[in-house]
Amino acid sequence: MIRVSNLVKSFGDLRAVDDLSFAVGPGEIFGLLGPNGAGKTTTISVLSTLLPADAGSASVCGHDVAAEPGAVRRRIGVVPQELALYEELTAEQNLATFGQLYGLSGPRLKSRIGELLELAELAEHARRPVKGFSGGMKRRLNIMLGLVHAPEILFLDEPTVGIDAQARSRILDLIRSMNARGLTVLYTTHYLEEAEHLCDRIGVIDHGRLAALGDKEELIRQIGEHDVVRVQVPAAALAPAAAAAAAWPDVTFADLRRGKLEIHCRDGAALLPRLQAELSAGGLGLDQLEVIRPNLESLYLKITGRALRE
Amino acid sequence: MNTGVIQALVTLHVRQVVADRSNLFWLFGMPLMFTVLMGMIFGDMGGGAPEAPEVTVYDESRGPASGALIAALGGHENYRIVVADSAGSWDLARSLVDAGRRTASLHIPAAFDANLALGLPAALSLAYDPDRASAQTVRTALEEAVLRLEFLSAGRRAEAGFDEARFDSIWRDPRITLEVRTLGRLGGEPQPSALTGFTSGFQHTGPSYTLMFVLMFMLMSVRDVVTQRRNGTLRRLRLAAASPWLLATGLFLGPLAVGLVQAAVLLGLNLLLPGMDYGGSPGALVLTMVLFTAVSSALALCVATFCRTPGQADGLGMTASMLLASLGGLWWPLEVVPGFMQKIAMALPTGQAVTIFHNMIGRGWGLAGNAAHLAALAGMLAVLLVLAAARFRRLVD
Ligand SMILES: Nc1ncnc2c1ncn2[C@@H]1O[C@H](COP(=O)(O)OP(=O)(O)O)[C@@H](O)[C@H]1O
Ligand SMILES: [Mg+2]
Repeated sequence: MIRVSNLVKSFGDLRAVDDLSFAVGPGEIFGLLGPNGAGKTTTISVLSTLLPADAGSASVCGHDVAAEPGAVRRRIGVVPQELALYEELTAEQNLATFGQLYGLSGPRLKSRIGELLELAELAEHARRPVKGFSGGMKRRLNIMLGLVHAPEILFLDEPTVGIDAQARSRILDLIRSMNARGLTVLYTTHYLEEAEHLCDRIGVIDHGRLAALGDKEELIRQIGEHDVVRVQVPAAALAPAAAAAAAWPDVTFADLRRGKLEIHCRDGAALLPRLQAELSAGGLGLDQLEVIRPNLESLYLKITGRALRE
Repeated sequence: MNTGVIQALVTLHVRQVVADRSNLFWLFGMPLMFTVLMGMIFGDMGGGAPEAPEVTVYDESRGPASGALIAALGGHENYRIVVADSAGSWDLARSLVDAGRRTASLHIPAAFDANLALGLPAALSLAYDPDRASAQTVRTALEEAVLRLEFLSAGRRAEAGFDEARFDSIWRDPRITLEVRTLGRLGGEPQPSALTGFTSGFQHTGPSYTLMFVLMFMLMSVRDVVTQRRNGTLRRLRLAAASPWLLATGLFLGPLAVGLVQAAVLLGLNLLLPGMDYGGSPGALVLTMVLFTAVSSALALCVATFCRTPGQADGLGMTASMLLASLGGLWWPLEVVPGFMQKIAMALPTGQAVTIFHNMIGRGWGLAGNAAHLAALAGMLAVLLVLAAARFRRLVD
């Protein structure tokens, strides 16, 4: 659905997007995760035909963004980072305006507006001016405005900025339910948890470059982080067990730490049966076992060297 | 041309304007207030104040006969009697009439009542401007009142017990009746200003303030365009509108539509003011307003491309509308400013438009007489549209 290859976009000396490549398949929720200034919005602007790329190419639904901007625009919905709403108009009027711009009218427009208001749980606020809405309501309407013309792909640029946790989870549910109806989603965020919980695949972006790409497991593996397996072993058995484990393939480290046997390996879960067999052969059980998987946050810090939360 | 997109953008602008009730005040309330207020201030300039012209009476006699005389003069619509507090000099009274500041002056000398009571000759003096219909009325009324006094005093001298009741019975049943009808219109009243050809201050303020507030509201809404750019709605419009040119056209036509409604309402309501009409050429009136409103909308779009913040929009918009209004002769008639300022005014759309209105109202000129000014407005519109198109990218990128 989306194909980005070696995309470059500079503002003066600053390379806001630097040789970026990734692809998003149909029905996928793809997360573009990166700190502020990473180049997420710039990427979305190029993909939505609002900014021309300096080099590389991008296509959406098989249409090149530079060559066929009109065809691309009809197929995408864009939810900008800002609350791009007419505050003095009602929710209904906001939706009607964009519906009319996309050529909807009459009963079709009316039913589409009703449907979207229902979806966003804003039906009973349809006739209220948006300026009286809560942050979460505005954010939901902001999303709906990108969906009026029933696009195949939705670009969501940090749609949960500035709202509380409850309102945020409502929005994530909303996105999931729209995805379940077949909508492909490109989701940018600087919140790690959101990417982790919502997205099928994640591209980590920093300084305009793609630092890692894949699902959560793949990301961790790409970065070369390891699982840590800790197990309580009687003191006498420690040294031989460590020596044996160190010889196993896939294990990068095995030794005594804080009175326990600690093993670093690529896949802790895969290691367990063998460890169990080894220990029971020596008449020992798996006692006080813990497997620590590195989380994305430590990974993310390692990639970008920057803390995520503002 | 995708009319759906244009229609949606025009509807959007109308919705935005209507959503804020205070806009009604800026669109209609404020201009009407200014038109009436300033029209009254300019009233003198036109020469014919809406108030009836003044007849001054210098009553030094202050008796029943002089009182009856003054009472007999009253009750006419086309002049009003002002009894002067202190008896001014008769020369002064005459000079006021001579200068056109009074319709007539009547002098009743101190001995009037006493002489009449004694049956002695009593003199009255009237000075009046024969060009004025109101002065003619004064003279007729005065002659009738004098005649009445004459007969009353003659009857008293001739017949013992002749009283007011007896006199009235004769007076009310005359043998000879004369019916007088004044047909046609007497010139000279109210006098058109030699400068503007106007007979009422509203003839200046009506069109001028309509032009000014159409322009001003248009430039005030530059703030909304800048706000839309900042909050991302303009980018959204660009994504949704099939092309940037459709978007530009919509952003031009939306304010134009609102401005035309505003102009129609204001010009219509102005007709209720005394002395107001727009001459005999509806074609010239409509074309002028359409061109001027279009120029204003194109100008607002241009100004928007130069502003980054709502504050800049307010500042630039207000400065532009004040300069265009004052230099263009919307605040005071161009006829009263020096020649080089008149030349400057002709370089501005406001100056061209108000000149057309003056020609229509003061001289009765239509499309042909105003062709050069209409062409100038059309030329300005073309220049502004080209400029707006050239700079439009800056607005939406
Ligand atoms: N129009 C622009 N002109 C100049 N620099 C820009 C512009 N837009 C973005 N940038 C810069 O490009 C970089 C990437 O910005 P952006 O794509 O907005 O990042 P993100 O959305 O990930 O926070 C930032 O350093 C930002 O300052
Ligand atoms: Mg951003």
